[in-house]
Amino acid sequence: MNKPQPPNNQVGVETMFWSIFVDSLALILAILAVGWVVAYLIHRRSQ
Amino acid sequence: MKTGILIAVLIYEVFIILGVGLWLAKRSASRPHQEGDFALAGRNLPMPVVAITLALTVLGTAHILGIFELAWFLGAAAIWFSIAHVILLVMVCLSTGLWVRRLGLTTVPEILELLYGRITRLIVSCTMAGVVFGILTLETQGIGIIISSMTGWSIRNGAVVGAILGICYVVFAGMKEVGWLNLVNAIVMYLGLILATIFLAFRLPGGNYDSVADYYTSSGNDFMLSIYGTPEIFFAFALGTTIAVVFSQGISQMLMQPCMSAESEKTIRRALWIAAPLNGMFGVFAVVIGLTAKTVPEFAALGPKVAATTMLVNYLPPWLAALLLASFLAAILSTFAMTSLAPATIFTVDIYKNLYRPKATEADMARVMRITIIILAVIAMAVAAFLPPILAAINWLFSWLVPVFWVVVFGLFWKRSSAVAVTTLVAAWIANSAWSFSSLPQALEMTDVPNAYVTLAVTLTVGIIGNLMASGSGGFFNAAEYRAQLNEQAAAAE
Repeated sequence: MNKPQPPNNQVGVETMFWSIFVDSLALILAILAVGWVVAYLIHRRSQ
Repeated sequence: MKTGILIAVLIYEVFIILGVGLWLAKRSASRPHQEGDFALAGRNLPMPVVAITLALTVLGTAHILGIFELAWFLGAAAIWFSIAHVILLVMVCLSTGLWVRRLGLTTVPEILELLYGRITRLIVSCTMAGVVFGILTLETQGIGIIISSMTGWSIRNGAVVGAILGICYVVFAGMKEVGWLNLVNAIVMYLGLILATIFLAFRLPGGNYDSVADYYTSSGNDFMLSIYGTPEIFFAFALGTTIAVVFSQGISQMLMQPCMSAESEKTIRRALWIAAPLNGMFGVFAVVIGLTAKTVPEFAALGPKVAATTMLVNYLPPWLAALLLASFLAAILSTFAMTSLAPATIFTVDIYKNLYRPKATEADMARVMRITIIILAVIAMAVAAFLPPILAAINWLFSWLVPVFWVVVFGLFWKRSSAVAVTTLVAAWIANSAWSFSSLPQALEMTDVPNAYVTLAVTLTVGIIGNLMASGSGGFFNAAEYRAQLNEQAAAAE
């Protein structure tokens, strides 16, 4: 089993984890925005 | 065997199940029982509870163990299983969930009776209850796997212990207990995930995730670090999963029941902004854990099914491993609870009350639901150890509900013809079964095409052509009876 070692390159943590995190968050927010706009337009048309 | 971790997990589950149950019992003692108390929490669940119940209802075995396993083969693109559920929640919170709340229904098959008559309602009741029960058996298998990874027990023994917890989760106070328990568990789960991601990094060479990134880039698999993967993965997996999830779960009783229980339509719309990110961002942590497990030789040797959970048990401090596994178990238990409550509600409302006891009281129905939940859970326990791979089974099960979604959409917005509706349902279900259990895919050289595509194609072809050719009344939302219902509701509100 690997022994714990002191962190020596914090940039790496940010590179892999944060790139997946930020890409996913941006995608989710984009989906929510598109869904909300489509629902708003349909609702307005049906009024 | 990690006995300490198991005991801590069991204490946590029992403590919060009993604690929330007692708190709810005390809170509701002062007011009289209302219509739909057990199944629909009196139709007054507040926004945070609706949001978290929606998010956790579809966050179960497939999300946790499935993404760990998928990340092994597809890399970060496995997160599309979560993203598909974000799109699903957008559709539920902005359309189907609002429709069922507006119509004041208790079960999805009731909408089929409203649109097409009693026969269609009964056909869909039996099918939907069967499909959701199928998902329940998979959730029981998932609980068995989690407990097995902590104890070394067989999956069957783990499933028995888990199913007993699951019965406790739902049978005391019904929908209200499930909703409030989910709120507590969601907070614990995210706290556990964030801490696990930090602690896991410190157990890796260099104390960060560089070694994981290096593993994939040095082997020429850097596409596995991107959530978009390759064009092939995107079109075959991401798009295919999205179609299967959105059109099958968009009208499932599992997701509609929390919407029917909401205080108002506004509650459901607002719940989207919590439910979608909560469900979607879970995939980020699951993907990172799955990617990491493959890069550590001692866990990689265990294979994709158990590598990630074994790594968590071995790498994290015992208290954190217990917290994280307890929260995973809680997330699966919440899906277990909804997948047992949903078919029990369908059976009680659409079969028991509709066919045999039209004058059944609320107390009669709550008793029948409790008995049904226990029977379903016991059967699920018995078959959990003999099940096929989780994602393959889900693919087949989900596809049964694709034609139900479209038949409801046709009836609400376009045309209501019972003959076309039944023909569409039966044709799609035959196609789904033929695709899984005959050599048709091989004969057509289309073995890579998932069941959801086939049932969607058959549903749209038969449904559209049938409705163009057959006569029938117009869409329900354009009908005078719907406008009369809206006027009645407006008058009652004033």
